[in-house]
Amino acid sequence: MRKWIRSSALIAVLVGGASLLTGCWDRLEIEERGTILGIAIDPVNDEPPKNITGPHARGVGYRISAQIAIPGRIPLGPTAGGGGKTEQPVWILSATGKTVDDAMERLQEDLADRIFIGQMRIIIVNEQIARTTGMLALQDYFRRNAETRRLIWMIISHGDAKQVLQASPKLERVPTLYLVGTMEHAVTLGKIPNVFLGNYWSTLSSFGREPILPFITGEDNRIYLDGLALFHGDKMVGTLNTLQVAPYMELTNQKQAGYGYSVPLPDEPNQSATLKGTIRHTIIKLKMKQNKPFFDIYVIINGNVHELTSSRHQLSSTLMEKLSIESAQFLQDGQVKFIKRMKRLGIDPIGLGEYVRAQYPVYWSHIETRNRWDQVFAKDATIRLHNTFNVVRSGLAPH
Amino acid sequence: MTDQRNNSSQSMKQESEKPKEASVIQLAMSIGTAIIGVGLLAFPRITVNYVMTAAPAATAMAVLFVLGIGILVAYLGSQYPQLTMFEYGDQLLGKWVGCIIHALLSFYYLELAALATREFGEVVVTSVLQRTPVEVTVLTMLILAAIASRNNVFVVIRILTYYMPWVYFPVIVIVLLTLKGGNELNLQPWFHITHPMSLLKAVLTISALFQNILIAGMFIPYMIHPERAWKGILIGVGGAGSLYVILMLATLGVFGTEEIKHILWPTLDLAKTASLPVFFIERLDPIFVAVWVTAVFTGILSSYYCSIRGMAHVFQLYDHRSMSIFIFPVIFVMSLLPKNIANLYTIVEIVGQFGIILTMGYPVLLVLIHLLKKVLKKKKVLRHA
Repeated sequence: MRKWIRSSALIAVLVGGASLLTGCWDRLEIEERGTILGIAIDPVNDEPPKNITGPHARGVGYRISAQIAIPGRIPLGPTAGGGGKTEQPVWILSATGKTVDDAMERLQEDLADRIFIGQMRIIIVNEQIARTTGMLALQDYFRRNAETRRLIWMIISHGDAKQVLQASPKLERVPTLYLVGTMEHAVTLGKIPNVFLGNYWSTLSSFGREPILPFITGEDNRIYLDGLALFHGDKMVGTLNTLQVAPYMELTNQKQAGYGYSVPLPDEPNQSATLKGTIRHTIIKLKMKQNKPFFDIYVIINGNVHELTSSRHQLSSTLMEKLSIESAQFLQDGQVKFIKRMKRLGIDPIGLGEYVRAQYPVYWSHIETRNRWDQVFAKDATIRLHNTFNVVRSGLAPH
Repeated sequence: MTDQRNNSSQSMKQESEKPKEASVIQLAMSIGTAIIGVGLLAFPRITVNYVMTAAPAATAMAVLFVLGIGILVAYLGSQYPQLTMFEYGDQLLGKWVGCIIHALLSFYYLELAALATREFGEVVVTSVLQRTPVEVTVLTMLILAAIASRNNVFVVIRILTYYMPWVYFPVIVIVLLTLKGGNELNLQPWFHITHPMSLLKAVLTISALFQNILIAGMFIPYMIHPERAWKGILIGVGGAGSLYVILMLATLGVFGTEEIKHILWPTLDLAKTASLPVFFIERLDPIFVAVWVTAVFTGILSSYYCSIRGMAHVFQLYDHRSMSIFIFPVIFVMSLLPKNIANLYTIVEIVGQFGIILTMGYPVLLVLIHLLKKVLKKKKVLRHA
């Protein structure tokens, strides 16, 4: 009898426990999910933003366009046989709202399925928002949402962000994936630093370094990577074009070098040599002199000759050495210009302030905020550059 | 068959002759698992809020402190190889004082288990099962812990030992995968303390993560060689401590102090930053949460076990099984008491910092009394001679 009671109690506990473990509340079939792949955030200029979270919502107003994957149409792997399906695998929806959450709520009203941003790969923000209202108010929604990944891209668009999201090049069937691919390849090619969202957030929070974000333009189904957007805190203050990105990459110790540049050939002012870096290494050393930070930046780059416009030269180590010296000079000039511009803008995207914070904590305790460091950087910091360039190879041509 | 063995072991416990089966390795592994608990997720933020970049150093200091306490527990175990901590506690403190302190300890471990369960529930509701009521996750975890804690001591040791690799290896893999995003500048200055009080609070808060170490006092008399318990405790606490230090270094290196302050559970976000270089698994945080659930389970099981063993001892019960069910509704209600997540973390911190006096002070007190008694005895012997 007792055994019977015990076993029935055990069964009751097991059944009850099993029903608790299934997690039925959160069951959601994949086709009932509104899977958002990318989001574009634009300002609302023409009409006042509608809002549904009540009259107290404060915010400048955003127009959010979301690229939503249509279940069953996303091609998984190579499409077999070339069946000639021309249906769009995604759908783009727009909604306005006073805050980001407000706009997302309105988006949810338009969409039957529950919005899911766990697969979101990209957030595109209009330059106008980045320059005027800033990024702080905008990113809080994504920070709080547990579905957001930290490894996604946040991009500033020149002009309409929706246009970038819509641009659907022929190479890839899903526009967002093409965009993500563009960014990832740019990183592996050494064109831009790897600034994913988590990385951007860390820099935005730190006091000794200004964040940057990729800067992009979308025009009739094509995407142009324009360089980087410079920030002062959460507000955008300028841009670096593709050529100006190179000094930034050099000074911030990005291992992958990806920019080609030309220097005049020795003894032949009308001819030029094109070189390309392969691997770089940057060491930043900090000293304090008369209570002012004093930086020595050593940049060591290995590179190859890619093109000579004249064939008069024989392959010789003297030529290579001369090219090395010229290259180092050329790169240094670019860096000097870059630092001058940063000092004029009063921002420190290289993160020299982090070195001060890390190595001279007592001095840093007088600074301790982003604005004060930027002032110190612009006025007091001395930066000396030491470039070393080693031409290592010159391709198959023996001259 | 097994029932018979259980019964015989239970009855043998009554006479102070205890079955001796556990090895040193088992002790080390079970302590290592018991210590890793729910605090894994939030402790980098709490520590950084106190001491900024000195957080890894503070963590290491806390580990050293707990190692010291662990040695004391091992010493007591070797002096009373037949008795559990509560039993020799009674001998040393006397029936009444011992009874009060043991009741306090049991209740404290109950509160610890309750808070850990609630914290677990909050993490699950916020990050994974967003529409599941928190009561359900809390209840599920409590049922698991309650059933597991009804087992006899060797089964509890085996459960903890079994889960040890499941808790440790995935955490280490995730840390390794995130290392390339780290920046050593974020770790510097290594030790720049502006307020000594905040360092003390940080060390106490981290030491509070190690409070389950007293479970060793319950395990040592069941070891084959209780006098070698110190090895097991050193390895167990050292292993768990290294895991905490590694996690602290990784989160701080990847995020930096200011970003950590913005993240409720930095360790979870660390898992979000990790990505396998293979295409088919892009997110590792679900795997991390799954691993973390086992860590939470073992942590709660240990606290629960300490608590019911203590209560069984205070009420002089034949065995601790009945306590497990009796206490279940109490712990469930206790875990639902914090009003919201901010309130929860305030309570966790206060309970941790003050409770440390109880849990870490208890072995110190016992050792002092033990030594005092020894000295007095010696004097007595000398006088008689």
